[in-house]
Amino acid sequence: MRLINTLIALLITAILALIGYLYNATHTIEKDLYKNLNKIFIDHVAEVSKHIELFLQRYLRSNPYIQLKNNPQLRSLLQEALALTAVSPHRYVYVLYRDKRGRFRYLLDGSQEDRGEFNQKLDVNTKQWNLVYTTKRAQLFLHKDSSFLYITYLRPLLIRHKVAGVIAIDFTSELPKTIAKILSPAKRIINYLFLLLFILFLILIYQLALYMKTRKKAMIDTLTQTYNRNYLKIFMDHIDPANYAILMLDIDHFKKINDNYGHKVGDFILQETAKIIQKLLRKEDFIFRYGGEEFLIFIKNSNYDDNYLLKIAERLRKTLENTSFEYNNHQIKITASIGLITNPQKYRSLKEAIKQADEFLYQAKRLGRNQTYFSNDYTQQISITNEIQLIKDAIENGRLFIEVQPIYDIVTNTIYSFEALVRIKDEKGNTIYPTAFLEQIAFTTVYTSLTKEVLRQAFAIIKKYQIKLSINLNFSDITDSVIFNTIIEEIENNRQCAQYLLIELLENESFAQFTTLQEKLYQLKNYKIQIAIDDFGSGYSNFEILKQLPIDILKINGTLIKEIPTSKVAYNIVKSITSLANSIDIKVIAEYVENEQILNLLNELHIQYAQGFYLGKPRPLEAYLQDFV
Amino acid sequence: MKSLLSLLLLLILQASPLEIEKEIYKIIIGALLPNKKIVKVWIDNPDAFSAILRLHKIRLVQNPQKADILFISKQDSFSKISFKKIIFVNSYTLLKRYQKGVIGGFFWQKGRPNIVFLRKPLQLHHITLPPDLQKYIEDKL
Repeated sequence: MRLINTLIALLITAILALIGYLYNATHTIEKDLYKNLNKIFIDHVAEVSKHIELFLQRYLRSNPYIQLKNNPQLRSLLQEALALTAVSPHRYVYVLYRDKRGRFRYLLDGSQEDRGEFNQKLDVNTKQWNLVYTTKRAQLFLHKDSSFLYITYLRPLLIRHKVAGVIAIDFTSELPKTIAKILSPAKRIINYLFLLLFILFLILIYQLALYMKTRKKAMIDTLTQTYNRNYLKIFMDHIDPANYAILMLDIDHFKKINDNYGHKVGDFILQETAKIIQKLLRKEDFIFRYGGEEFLIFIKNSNYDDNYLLKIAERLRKTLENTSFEYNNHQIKITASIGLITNPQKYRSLKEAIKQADEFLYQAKRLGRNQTYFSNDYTQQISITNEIQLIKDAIENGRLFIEVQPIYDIVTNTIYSFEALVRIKDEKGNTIYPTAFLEQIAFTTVYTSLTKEVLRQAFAIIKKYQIKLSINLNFSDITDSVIFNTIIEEIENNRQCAQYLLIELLENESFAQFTTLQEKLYQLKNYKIQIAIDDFGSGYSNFEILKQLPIDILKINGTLIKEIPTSKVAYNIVKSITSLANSIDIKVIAEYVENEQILNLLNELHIQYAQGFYLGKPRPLEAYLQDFV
Repeated sequence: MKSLLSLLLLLILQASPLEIEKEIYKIIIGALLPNKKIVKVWIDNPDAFSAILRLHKIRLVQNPQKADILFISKQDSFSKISFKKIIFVNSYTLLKRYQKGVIGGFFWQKGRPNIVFLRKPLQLHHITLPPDLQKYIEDKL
């Protein structure tokens, strides 16, 4: 951006300099032409005056005054002769002499108009006229003080080597007008050229302004008038991360505003939020609309400590919390969560720092929203961020794939369904299993992207083969509106295939948002999706789930299954879970079936469905298709 | 002297002929009637003497008898006036013709302002011109 601005500035300066040079050159040419033409006229008049002198010398003797006073006929003759030379542009041709008192008087006047009488005084610039007498040389002077006279050419009338008078030829302002007239066509061409160049320059400026405007438009988010991601890319390339702190701000439960009041209100809230942020920040801070309701803010950091930056973030958050947005008589309150990075320069790149801000934002959300989250344990953050980047790259470059493990109906010995298991191939082609990356990407936007991709691939399989396929999700994925919306979006896109989808939920948390979980699971059931509880019988297992949630399947914890040949307790737990499930019409799937002995015991326990390495390892779907189709 | 300086300044600054005329008439009136604070002026043609009308310390009178100085541009006007008055003309022709009764003239010749004062009428009116105007005095035309 800066480089382009510099280039534009240089271009404009160069064009202006060129125009200036051309303007100057035009005037110099005009001046030179003027000077040369002037010289031609002066040379000409010098010649004319020389001939006048020669002519007069033929008639006049040592004292022309006495001679002409006594001889009016000669006066008349000579005046008529002089009159022949008094033509435009030299209007007045006359001869003066200097009397004893130093005054100049007419001897002869050949002028066609305003003719002076013999011996009449003419008030002239005596200093210049006297020069002709003292130097005996021709003099030329410009009438700077007259708008009527232009140049006067004076030539001494030498009779017997003495100055007997002065031959004067006056050019009136007609001369410059005549010269201007001669120059006018050339001047007109030069002026047109100059005008053309100037118009071109104006067009260029206009185009440039248009370009800048369009460019600015392309960099600005039309709704919030903050910068958009296009500008973020440019911005990131031109700043020193050490000079900024990064804030990732997200409006909490924004979807609810859209759902409850409509998108117009949602847009209004976004606009107002942007205005508030802009008002609270300084000109040197930058605000970007990063996502739907997500703002990325760069605070110019003048060696502020972490606490001060945290205060800025908190001031933003509290102002939003305390603002009541009014739209069509609706009073709307919002809160925001913020992820704060105080030292972006400590990350490998600005991109990573932004990702970390995103993670902190999720952390703030996870901790209950309406708060700012930040940490200064950079070493851990950096390694996690690096891993997240690897996973993100794998998703973006199509290196995420699904393997399936069959779930058998052990009564009929046929495949009942498959469990989709996500894998990632690293850049060297090694397969990475979910235990190596799922924990790191939890609560980041990458996790959402991963969920979306898994669902996309799962539905592609279902669509192609019309088989039952289960995917694994956490309870928190259902309660998290961002992830849940992604899931619903994918299901909506594949509505006809939804009945083949089975969601295995892992009880990894307590049910802080039990009502939300219940509502959303019923929402999924509307699509005829089957819900399974994974690893039932361990961890957070709670029989309350069976009472409150729409559960279709229980997958008994693999550790219990593995132990049934050796542990009576495990055997009986499995037995009672199966018995309970059967009594409330819930299917049971046994995991970790690793040998024939376990399989036989499952038959004994009347468990109909089983999966495990003994029955089939996770493999690409194609490996099972022959048996299945 | 002050007036001459301002005239010089006007010339340098290439003032309009009317402005130059105004300054010249100011000098002339000041030189001919140095003791009059307000000079009563009679003119025969306002167009010919428009520069005089711009002066501050003059009062235009309708009756030439009541005037301190008469400015004449037309030959006919001489029949209406008394030659006892200070008379100033604006052409060399009138000046030459009435040189016995006219004190002086100011006119343009070949784009140059020309001033002529006549010695005898000056003496008749007991007027002594300031030194810087002495060079414009002519004995006869």
